[in-house]
Amino acid sequence: MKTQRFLLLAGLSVTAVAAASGSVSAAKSSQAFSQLLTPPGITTEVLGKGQGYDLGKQTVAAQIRDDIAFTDARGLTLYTYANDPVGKATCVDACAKEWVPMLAQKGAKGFGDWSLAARADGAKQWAYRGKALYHFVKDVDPGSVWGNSPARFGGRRKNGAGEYVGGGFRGAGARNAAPDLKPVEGWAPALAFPNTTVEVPAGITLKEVPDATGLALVDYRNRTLYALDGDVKKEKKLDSSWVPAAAAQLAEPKGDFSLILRDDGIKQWAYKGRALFTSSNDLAPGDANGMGVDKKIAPAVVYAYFMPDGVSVHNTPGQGRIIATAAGVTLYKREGVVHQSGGGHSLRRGHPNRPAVGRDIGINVMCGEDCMKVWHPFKAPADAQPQGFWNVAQRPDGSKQWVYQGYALWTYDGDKRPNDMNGNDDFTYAYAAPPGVDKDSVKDLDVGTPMDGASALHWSIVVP
Amino acid sequence: MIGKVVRTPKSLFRTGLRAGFAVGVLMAGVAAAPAHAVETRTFVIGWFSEATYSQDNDCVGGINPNIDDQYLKNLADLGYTPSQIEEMAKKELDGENSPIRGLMTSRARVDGKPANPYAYPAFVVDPKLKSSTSNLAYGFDLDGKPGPVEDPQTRQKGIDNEFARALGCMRSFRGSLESRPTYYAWAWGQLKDSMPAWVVTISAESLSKDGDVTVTFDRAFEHLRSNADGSPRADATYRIDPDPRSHNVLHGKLKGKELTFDTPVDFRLMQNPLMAPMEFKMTKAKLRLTLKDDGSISGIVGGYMPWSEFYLGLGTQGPGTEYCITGDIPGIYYLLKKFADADPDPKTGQNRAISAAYYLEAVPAFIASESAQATQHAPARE
Repeated sequence: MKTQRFLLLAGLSVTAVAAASGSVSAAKSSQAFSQLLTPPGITTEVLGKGQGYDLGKQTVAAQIRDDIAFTDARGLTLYTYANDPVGKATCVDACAKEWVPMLAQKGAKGFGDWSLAARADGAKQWAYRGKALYHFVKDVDPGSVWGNSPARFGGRRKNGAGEYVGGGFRGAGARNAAPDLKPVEGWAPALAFPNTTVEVPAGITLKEVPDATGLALVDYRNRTLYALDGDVKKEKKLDSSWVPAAAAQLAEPKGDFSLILRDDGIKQWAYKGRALFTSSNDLAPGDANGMGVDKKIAPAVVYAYFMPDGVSVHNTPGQGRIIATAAGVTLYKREGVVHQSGGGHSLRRGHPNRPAVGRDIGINVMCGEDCMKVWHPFKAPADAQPQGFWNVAQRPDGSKQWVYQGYALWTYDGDKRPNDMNGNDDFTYAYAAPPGVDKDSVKDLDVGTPMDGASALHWSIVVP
Repeated sequence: MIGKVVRTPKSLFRTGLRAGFAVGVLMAGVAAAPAHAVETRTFVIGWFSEATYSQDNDCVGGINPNIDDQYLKNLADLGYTPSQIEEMAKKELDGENSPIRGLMTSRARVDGKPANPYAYPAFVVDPKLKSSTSNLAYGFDLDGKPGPVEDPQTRQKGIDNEFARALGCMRSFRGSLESRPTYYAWAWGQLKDSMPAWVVTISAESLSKDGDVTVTFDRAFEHLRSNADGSPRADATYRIDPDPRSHNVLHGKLKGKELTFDTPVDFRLMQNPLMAPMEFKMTKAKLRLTLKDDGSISGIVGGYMPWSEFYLGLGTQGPGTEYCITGDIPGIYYLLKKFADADPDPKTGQNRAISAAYYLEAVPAFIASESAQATQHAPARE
């Protein structure tokens, strides 16, 4: 079974974690207790402003990822129905016209939190933690919930149903939008995050740790927790950068969390029997700089994001971990410019993924014939399926191209070795009527987002 | 060899060489250092801006209006009557809901319809902003032709710096080497704490005697480190980014404390592309540097710069920057287009490059191996 094989690999591969500058497949760096977050055909989308329709400065500086929903292959939010018993889908007939069942593909098999619910007609429907999943017909754009599209936060544009929404600069469109549609009683969006499926003790939570490509345990400061694959009594062999995750003296075991009484008298948290540590190499929430430092210890990823074969999270000297090929060749996205007062573009997360912008650009990168001689689509296998934050674009020649968080991925001929990112920040003129161009040939870029100034596109590295 | 940069031992610097001096053999891996070099100094650029030399009376009839007044002129260009403009101006002054800003952010006309003026600068009525009439400007004789413009430092004539002429009457682009132009003070302040720094390596057989010298410019992985007062911190350590796009090598001469690099080169430094220029790019560039007594360096780099990229850096910033910093952005488009003096488009004849000069200051710095521990971190994600 593929999933089991994955989990087996995950368990074994901590020994295969490369050195600090090496290539680390995110999924393979996960713990033995890691569970894949999504099955094939189920994707994940950030809800609301995290889609990036709104180019508000606050969005650019720190893209909001407060809610991540399970979604179908089109990115439409999935819901559960309170009246459904575990393992059975009861929304049929008229109900099923408004709440459309998320049917499983033939041959699909459940694992972990994922199972297949039976429908009256014999079809199988995906279920998360036993509850059948549906999408809502009023959701027309990725990142929507209850029929409220995040596109309304941006400038005037057509939504997925072909209707105009939004209408202002930098989020002002929301002021002109219709009032929010209310939640429908009995229904709830199926959220991947926040994730309440793990029973945690006080001071430990489950958060998105992008570099570890998953939902991982973090401490009370939101610092990433790492789990030791081995006997904690032998931890003296760990270097001093590993700090035991200390529990309160009165702390009690809870769920899969247990306590280890250390020789120094400190109670240390353990998850599923594995001692937990923080890394002094992590300086801020979201850091996972302890990855690859010691083969016995890795981020305590409880839910691992899907990563396609042939893709790695590669650690680079200049920009930390980036999305790359398995060989470490940098992968790029085509990105729309947004001016940021205060700078910050050059920072590692200075131009975060904005799925709405990526989808609008699609595979039409508008960089001309010469440009396309040196930029190449990062091809997906013919049988590739959308899964997690990964999607698949169909190219005109019938081939498939990987799409990550909305952005089609590319390689650049100018990169000759791992760590090269010689195409990063390469710009394309995009403002109207450059010198010598006549009016008839002028075509403003439409990347689906209102630029305050002139619009432009650039190539950019992709961070997890 | 750039990927083999050797970390210079700090102990060496502590023995009287803290001001950036290093024995060349220890820097043998530094890019393009000549094989015979025995002395190398490394620096990080702590200030970079257009080399301005604004003087009283160099704009006939005064400098260009402030943006509020310019907008009133632009309203007239759009066909509004004096009484309509007066009414709108009164509302603006009274803090009422004035339509001026909205009209200005859509003052281009494409097929008669309002359009974004920053995206469509050629479809805005040329506001005919004033340009400098001064014949004093920093830079170099790039075309070998005689001309009236004289460099106030070198007293050389025939200087090519039409960029200074084009923007010389824009308030935010006026200043001197000592009194920094507003635009660059703002832009550099925005960039320096996050944009990868630029490092300079000077190598020669001896920097204490006249002779051949080589200078390289590269981009670092780290941003400029600053002191608490915002000034560039000396003796901080940087790793060189091997990206070839920002690797520049110039060969020149050292005489006294002056370094001159007269052989024209293509010069390129990537920067945060959301500022103007989007990246620093010149053709036929020349350079001069001064070794200063405090261990720092300063100098001028001049060449032909693609003016449309400079415009795009402003154009993407749009109305906020126009109103608060630069002044009329489509007006700048017309100025740059008018004064462009090189690289004619084969089809239209319109020059695509403009002669320009930039000023830099740099303080001593260390260079570490590319594989040294990375220090850049993502913003917090609580």
